[in-house]
Amino acid sequence: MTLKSMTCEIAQPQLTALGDGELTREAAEAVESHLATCTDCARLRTEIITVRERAAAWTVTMPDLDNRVMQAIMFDDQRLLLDEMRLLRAEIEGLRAEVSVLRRQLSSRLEMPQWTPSTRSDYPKMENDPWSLVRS
Amino acid sequence: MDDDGLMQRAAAGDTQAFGLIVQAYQDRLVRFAIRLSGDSDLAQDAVQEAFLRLWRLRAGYKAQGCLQAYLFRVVRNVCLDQARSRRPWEVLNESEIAEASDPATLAIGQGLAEAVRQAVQSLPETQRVVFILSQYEALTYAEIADVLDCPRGTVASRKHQATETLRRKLQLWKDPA
Repeated sequence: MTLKSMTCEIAQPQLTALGDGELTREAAEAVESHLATCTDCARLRTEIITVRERAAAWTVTMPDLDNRVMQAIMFDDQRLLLDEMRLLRAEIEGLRAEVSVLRRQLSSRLEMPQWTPSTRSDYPKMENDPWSLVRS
Repeated sequence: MDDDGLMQRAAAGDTQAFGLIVQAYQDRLVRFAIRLSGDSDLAQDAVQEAFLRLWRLRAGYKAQGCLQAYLFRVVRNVCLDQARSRRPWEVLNESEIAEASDPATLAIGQGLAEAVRQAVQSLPETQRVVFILSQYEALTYAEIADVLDCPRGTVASRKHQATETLRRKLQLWKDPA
C-alpha cells in the first residue's frame, strides 16, 4: 500500500490493530505515514489509545480459589471409580442370573430334579434322595 | 517443562503435573470468566468444568501446543451455556439492557471502572470475547483466532468494532469527582 493510495476509509479500520502491534511492518508504516498527514485519523488514533487506557480501569477481584479444582478432580476420580464398581456389581448380578438359568437348563437336560441339597449344611435329607444315585 | 510435557505426565496419572497446569492457567481463566459472565461463582464453576474436561481427556491428549486455546474455549462455552440457561427472571429485560448500555447513563455519576464494565458487558458476545482476551489477557490476534476457531482477520475486525463502540460509549464519561 503506497502512501498516495492510503485513504481514511482504509486507515481507520486498522488503527486498533496498529495500537495492538498486530499490523505487518509495511502496513504499519503506511498507516503511520497517513496519520502524519491526516488530523482526523490522528485524532481517532488518540481516542482509541484513550479507550485502551480507560478500559484498564476495570479490574476484577479474584476469589479465593484454594485447592478447589484439584479437589474437584480427586472427587471426580472417586466418583468414576464408584460408577465403575456399580457397573461391575450389576455385571456380576447378571452373570449370576445367567449361571442360574444355565444350571436349571442343564439339570432339566440331565433329567435331574431342580432341587439340590446343600453339601455344606445339615439340610434334612429327603426320602428317596435322587442325588444319592449320582453320588454313588 | 512445557504444557505438552506436563500433559503427557498427567496422562500417565501424575496429578502433580496436572496441578502445575492448573496453577499456570487458573487465575487467567477465572479473570476471563468473571469479565465474560459478570458472576464470580459462575466463573469459578466454568473454570473447574474446563479443567475437569481436560483431566478426563488426558489419556487421549495429543501434543499440539494449543492447551491455552482449549482452556479458554471451554471456559467461554461453559459461561455462555450457563448464561443462556439462566432462569428467565435472572435475565435483564430489553429496557434494562438498553438503560445499562446507554452512554448518557454510563456518563453520569459513576466510577470509570463501573462505566467500563457496563460498556464492555453490553457489547455483542462475539466482540466482547475478543475484546476481553485482547485487552485484559493480552492474547495476540492469532491466539484469539485459535480460541474462537475463526480467521485472524475476523478477530481484527471484531476488536476494531468493539473498540469503536467503547470509544463512543466512554466518550461522554466524566469523572464524578
